[in-house]
Amino acid sequence: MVRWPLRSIRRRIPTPAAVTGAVQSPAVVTRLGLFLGPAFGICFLTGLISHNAQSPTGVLLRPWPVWGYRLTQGIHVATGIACLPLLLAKIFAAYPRILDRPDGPARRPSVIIRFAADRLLIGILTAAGIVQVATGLFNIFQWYVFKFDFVPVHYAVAWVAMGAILIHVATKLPTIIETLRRRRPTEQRRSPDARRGFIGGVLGVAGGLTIFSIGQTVGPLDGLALLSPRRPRSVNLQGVPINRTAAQAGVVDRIDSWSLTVTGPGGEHTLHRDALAAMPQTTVRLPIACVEGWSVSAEWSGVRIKDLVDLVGGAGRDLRVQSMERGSRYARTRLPADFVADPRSILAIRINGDVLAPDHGYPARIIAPDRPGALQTKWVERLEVL
Amino acid sequence: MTERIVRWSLAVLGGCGIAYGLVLVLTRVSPADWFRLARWGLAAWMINDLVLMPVALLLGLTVLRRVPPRRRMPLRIGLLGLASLVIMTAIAVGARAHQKNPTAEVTAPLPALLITGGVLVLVILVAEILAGLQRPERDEGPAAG
Repeated sequence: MVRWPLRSIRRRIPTPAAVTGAVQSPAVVTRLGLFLGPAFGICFLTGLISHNAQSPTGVLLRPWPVWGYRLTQGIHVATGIACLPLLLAKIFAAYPRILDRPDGPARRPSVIIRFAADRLLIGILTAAGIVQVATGLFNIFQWYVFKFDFVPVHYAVAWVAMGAILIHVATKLPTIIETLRRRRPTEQRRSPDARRGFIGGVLGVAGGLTIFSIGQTVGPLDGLALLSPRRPRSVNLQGVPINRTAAQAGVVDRIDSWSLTVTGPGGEHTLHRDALAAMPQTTVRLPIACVEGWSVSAEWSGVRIKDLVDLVGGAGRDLRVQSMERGSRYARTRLPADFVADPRSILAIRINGDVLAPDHGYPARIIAPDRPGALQTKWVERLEVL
Repeated sequence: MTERIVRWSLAVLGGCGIAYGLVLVLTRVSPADWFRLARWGLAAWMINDLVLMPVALLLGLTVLRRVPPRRRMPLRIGLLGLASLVIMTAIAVGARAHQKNPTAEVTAPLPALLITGGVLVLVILVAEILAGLQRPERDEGPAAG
């Protein structure tokens, strides 16, 4: 009969204590968690705002303040980037736990079940955390290597990750409390300088990544934005970056035959570009803030949405905005009534003094305060009062 | 008692969060994407358990133990910072190769890596020099990681 040398193998695997270095301690893991947990929490909450803003029934974003989405999404992406070194550090500080064995008589089912449940939770937590940070990074660089629909997946996994974090905190709470309450004299603690240095260094790396990438949102740091996918204030067509070109949207061939149809309770109105340009023009300075984290202000000129709605009646009602683009999630969007009524919401035909370039939505695009960039619909061909 | 209530509340909230997330996967994510998502989740778990943790263990056992105690912390922070920068740069390089939008990339990733990596090394060196002036050398204990 073949006897598996399980006991011998088991003896050769080092215990967590045997591979624990100066930074692999509950003190370091707990304190890193004090930064990583809130960072994930901030990402989660700002992500909920963004998701709600893009939902047809979203209620969280209003036309005031105009910089609201710019702020929340800028924080979302900056915090997500900062999570990368924090996550790596947490994995590094906690790696001896991979060698953990059931605590107690290993043959008792309750011990095995508790151990397996703990490993499963840690597995879900790390997998969800890594998936969120990794796909978020790929998405802000517009490299869709994951090949799944990012928005619903990122949203669903965010709930799983937050749920796993809460359960993890619940199970580790006694250790966390004990670690944070413990105040031993410095000479009795093992390598306090090393721990403090490690946590300080990790925060320094997270801060450095933020400084070198947040220029895509914070104008004065644009020159330092070496790690950001966009530098909105650098070389860009008409001063504003573009996420989707006219060619990518497949509208180039139809731009010349463009007309705008406005429909509502009072009937239907069709306008060509000359007629739109002949209407009273309004100039507003508004930021365009993208879901990928970059944002930049520009001067937009065009016709107030309210004036266009007045042509067909239906004041105080939501508006459906239809782009010439087909097949995109954002080709048809909803502009809530308070955005329609806001005097800063316009159908822009000019940007920074120039006629809109096709890639910026020529002949006409929506610009409204405090809206995600994806909802600032380009190549608008139909406005429908709902 | 309070701790018990907090723990149970967190556990119930967390359980609801995971359950809601799974419901979202089933109802909002296309079935065609379930397999891709599962593959990413599995890959993430494998990267953690079968790559990152064993590599950290090996580095600790083979490299860090040979490094003088005083040099270990800068090495750890340097490797961590470098790993973060390399991940960001690798994504930027890959994104550049796949980008169909001419305005999407304006920063060359490799020079950015060299500059930010240089800043990282410089900051660590300055911090070490300053720290060295303030404290005597002392052992930090075992150097597994």
